[in-house]
Parts: sequence; C-alpha cells; structure tokens
Amino acid sequence: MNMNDKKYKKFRQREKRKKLNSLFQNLLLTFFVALFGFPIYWIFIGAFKEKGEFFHFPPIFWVNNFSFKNFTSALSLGGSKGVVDSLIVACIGTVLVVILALFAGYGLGRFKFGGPNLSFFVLSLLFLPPIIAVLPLFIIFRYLRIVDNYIALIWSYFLINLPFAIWLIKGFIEDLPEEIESAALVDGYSRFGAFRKVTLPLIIPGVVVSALFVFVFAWNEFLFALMFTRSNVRTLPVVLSELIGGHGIQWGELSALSLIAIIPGVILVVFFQKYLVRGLTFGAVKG
Amino acid sequence: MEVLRLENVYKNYGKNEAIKNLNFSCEEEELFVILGPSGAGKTTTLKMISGLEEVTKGKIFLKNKLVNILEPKDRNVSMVFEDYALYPHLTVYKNISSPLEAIHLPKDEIDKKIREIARVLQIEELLSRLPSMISGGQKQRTVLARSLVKKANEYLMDEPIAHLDAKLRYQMRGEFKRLQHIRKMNILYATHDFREALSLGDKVLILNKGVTQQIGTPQEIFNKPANIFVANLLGEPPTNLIEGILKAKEGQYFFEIGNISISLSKSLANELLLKINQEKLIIGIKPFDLHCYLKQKENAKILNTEVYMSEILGHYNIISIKLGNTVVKIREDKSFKVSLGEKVSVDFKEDKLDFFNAISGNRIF
Repeated sequence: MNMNDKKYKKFRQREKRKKLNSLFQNLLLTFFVALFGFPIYWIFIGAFKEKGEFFHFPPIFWVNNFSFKNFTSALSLGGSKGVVDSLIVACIGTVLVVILALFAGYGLGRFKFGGPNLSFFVLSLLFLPPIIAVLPLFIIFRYLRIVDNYIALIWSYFLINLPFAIWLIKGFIEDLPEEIESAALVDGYSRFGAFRKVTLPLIIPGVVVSALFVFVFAWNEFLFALMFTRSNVRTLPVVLSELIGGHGIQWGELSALSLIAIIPGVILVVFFQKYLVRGLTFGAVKG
Repeated sequence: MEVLRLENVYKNYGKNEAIKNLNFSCEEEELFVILGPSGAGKTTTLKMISGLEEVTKGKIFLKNKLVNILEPKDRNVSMVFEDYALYPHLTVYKNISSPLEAIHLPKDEIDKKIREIARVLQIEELLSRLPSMISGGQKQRTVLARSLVKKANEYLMDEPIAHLDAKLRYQMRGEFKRLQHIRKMNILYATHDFREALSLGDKVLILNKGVTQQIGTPQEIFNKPANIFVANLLGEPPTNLIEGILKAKEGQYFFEIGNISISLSKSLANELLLKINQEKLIIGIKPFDLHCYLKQKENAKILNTEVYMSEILGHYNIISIKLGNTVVKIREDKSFKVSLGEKVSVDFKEDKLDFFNAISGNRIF
C-alpha cells in the first residue's frame, strides 16, 4: 500500500466521521425541537378537539373533527375579559415603563446622574424576587383601596420591570457617541429636541426590547395578578388557572385560551425580530 | 468688528485645570487658528464657545453679548467635530438640513440652500445616501456642508481635516481657504498641524496645556517664536534649539556648546549682555537658515564637523550634525549630497538667530 492510498483511506475515514457527526447533531436537534415543540403542538390540536377525543386511548395525535366550540366556550367562561384585561394591564404598563426608563436611562447614561452608585442601586432592584414585594404591596394597595383595580397591577408590573428597562436603555445611551448629540445641540436643537431627533431613533432597538420584555412579563404574570385581583380585574393567567377546577380540568377550553395567549408574543417576536437580536446581544460586541 | 471675545477664561475638570486664563478675540471675516498638541485644550475651548461645556471662570462674548449662560441653540454658532458626528440614521441631505430645520425655515428655502452648498462642496450626487455609504473625504465635506449651510456668528472647526489622508488634506486646505474667502466667514479653527495653522490662519494662537504661548500673525509666530515651545512646534523639521554658554575671551565673544565654540559679533553680544543675567542660554535657528559646505569655507561659523545623519526627502535633503549633545538639522538642496561621517563646515547669518532664556524658555530677542 503506498502513501497516497493511506492518505485516501484517512480522508475517507474523516469524511465518514464528519457525516456521522452531522447525523448525530441533527438527531439531537430534532429531539430537542420535538421535546419543546410537542406541548405547543398538543395545545394547538387540543384547542380544536372535541371533548371525547381528550380521553381516548391510544391518544389521538391529530384532530378528527375540527371545531371552534372550545374557543367560544373559553371566551364565554371569562376568557374574553381575560384577554381584554391582560391587554389593558400589559399595554399601559409597557408604555409607562418605557417612557420613564427612557428619561431615567438618559439621565443615568448621559449625565452620570448620581454617580455609579445610583445606577448600580437601580440594577440591584432587578435581583429582588417578586414574591418579596407581594405582601407589602398588598398592604399598600389595600390602604389605597386599589386592590382588584387595574392600577394595582400596572403599578406592581411597573415596579418590577423598571430597573431592567432603565439598565438596558442606559447601556444603549452610553454606547451612543456623545458628539452626535452635541452636533444636534449646536445645530440649534434643545436638549429634548436633540434627544428626539438623534438619540431616540438610534436607541430604538433598546426601546423595542425593553418594551417587549415588559409586555411579555405583564402578559404572563400570575402571582401578582392572583394576589391583587378578585372579580373586577382578571387577567389571562388567572382565568386560565380557574379552568383547572376542583371537579375536573376543562382541557378543551384550557387549550383554546392558551393558544390565544400565545398569539401576541409570537406576533411581537416576528415583527420585531431584527431589533430583538441587536437588543439582546447589546454590549456583547463593543468597539 | 469684533465677533468673538474670551476674557480670562478658565476651565477646570475637578482639580485638573484644562484652560488657564485664556484671552483672545476674533474679528469679522477672520480665520483664527488655535494651534497646539493634543491635550492642549483646543476642543475644550471650542466646546465652551459653542456652549457644550460650561466656563469655570471668565467671560465669553459673541457679537458683544455675554453668552456664558446661554444654551448652545441660542448662541448661533456652528461646529465641525473632529470625528464628524454625522447622524448615522439620516441621509446626507437630512444631515445638512438639520440646522435649518431647527430654525424652522420653509422647506423650499431649505432645499435651495442645501442644493447650493452641495454644489459648492461637490456632494450633489451623495445627497440621498446614508453616512455609512460614503467615504471619509465625502463625510468631511458633508459635515462641512452641515456647518456652513446656516449663517452663524462664528464657525468653529475642531480639527476638521485631521482624519483625511495626506493628499486629501492638502487639497482640502486649499479649498478651505478659498471657501472662507468667498463666503466671508468668521472661522475659529483648531488644529495640531502647524502647516494648516500657517497656511490658513489670519491670526494664530498657540496653546499648550491650557496656557496661551503666543498670539500673532503666521509670519510673526514663525519668525519670532515667543518661547522654545513655539519654536519647537513650527517647521519641518522644527527650529534647532541649542543650549550653550556665552563667554568672553580676549575681547571676543563666543557661544560655547560642549567643546565647540561659535564666535559672535561684539554688537550682538553686547545686546545680549544687556538683556540677560546669566551666561547660559538657548539659541534657535531654523534648518533652512543653516548652510552646509563640503569644502572648508573661510570664516564659516562651524568648521570641520562630522555629518551625523543624512536624509533624502525628495525635494530637499536634511543633513544632521552634532553640536555637543544636540543634533542640529540643516535643510539643504536636493543636489547637496554627503555621506555619513564626512567633514563639512556650516555657516549662518547672525541675524537669523533667536535667543531664548535657558530657564524660562522665553524669547530674549
């Protein structure tokens, strides 16, 4: 056997190994996609199934009789109020957080307001487990007579999300060369005018990401919603939890409402994908 | 008429004094240059005038109006930043229109002004592009257009052409002068390049570590540097500064540098003796005021010295000799060729010498 044959054999072996590796990788990926994707698929088909199909053995992995009955039933069982209330709380909370975080982030990032200590204090609030705040907040809200009111939920979501949003936007402001803003000031704009003309358009990825986070948090939040609301305000997670009753679980309605609950998140992520990547990796590549 | 005046201006950053007692004024249609190395305080000065930095102490007047506490937008100045500071999300057109939009000019008037300045600066075809899509030279023109498009009290330029390559910089320097002349602008121009300062400036202020070294016309500054810092900053290569001792021997005066002595005329020595109270001093002489001779020249000031280094720089050659510990550079014609270690004599005219105090570094005469 000469050298070339040996080399060729090695080459063949290497190629074989590569193919095996890639096959293995693909199998692994498929497994994880299935692992995480299956529950969503299960919810999806569950939403369209009829009652009897849930308890069939062997399980039915496809919908035989498509029906929208689960949706109508779920919406009438408090689902529609859940969607509306969740939208109200999440939207108002998001807008408030973003507006305040913009100004606070600008102050901290541009003028180093309060020195490094204040901005780290803001960051440290991020590590506060929400449950610690539940009891004091409940007492405050009771005295203010806003338990079971939108304000209570909006206020608490605001509190939990503000530090993160400030920190994120502050990072974006710091990344922006100060001279660009100075140029706008010399051009004849006021501080706020320069902010609107130059700074804001350039930190949009940060604004979008913080808005998304706040919205998704408020949309999914269960603990505060359960504690601070009764009948006047009922967000989706609370309504969903009530479908799991003492007498049984309403699988069809649960699936249908869960499917509705997934929709806003998916839409937002699809629409704002390009900002999301930049926003989530911010600070990773500086230069 | 006076457009800009700074009176006893100080700027401190914490304990660090960036500007110390700055005083100068700019006339109408004057191109005033602030020349200094990096860290001299040029940008700080410009930022204080534009209102981007506060003044620690002192007064700034624009058209005889005290502007210390005015916002940048109320000062009506325009500024070109060293690293352009173009708005990356706006097109070249929108970048240039920004100062006009800020004062709410009608759209058609804005358009007219932009087209005009774009034509002058030859960037008409770039108007629809984003800053990321144009070259460094084009960015520089764009930022210049943004600055010049509005009528300002004073145009502040912070090293506007420092980032361009040498060829483009040379070209822009000429255009700059022409533009200023045609549009009759009041410009305050900061640079670290003495060529820019001398070729552009009607008046030049030399700044070092926040302290004014000299103010004057380019000729004054070049011909009569106020101190060794200024002498060292100007010229390519800069003025030779040679430390030595003035000595009298048998009725004759000499300037001694190490073991080499150069004879000085009686009248010059007497004049010097009137003004100094120590024998140690520094003489300055420009490289092109020194002349090199291959053969022994009779009565040459420096005889029989060795060539220490010889550089060919295209249209001229630089010959170096060593006097004491100081390397002295001589600018000679390109036809003058010597090799290392060769013996030459060097001569100069006494009236070309500058004398500086060896301790303070200030000019004696």
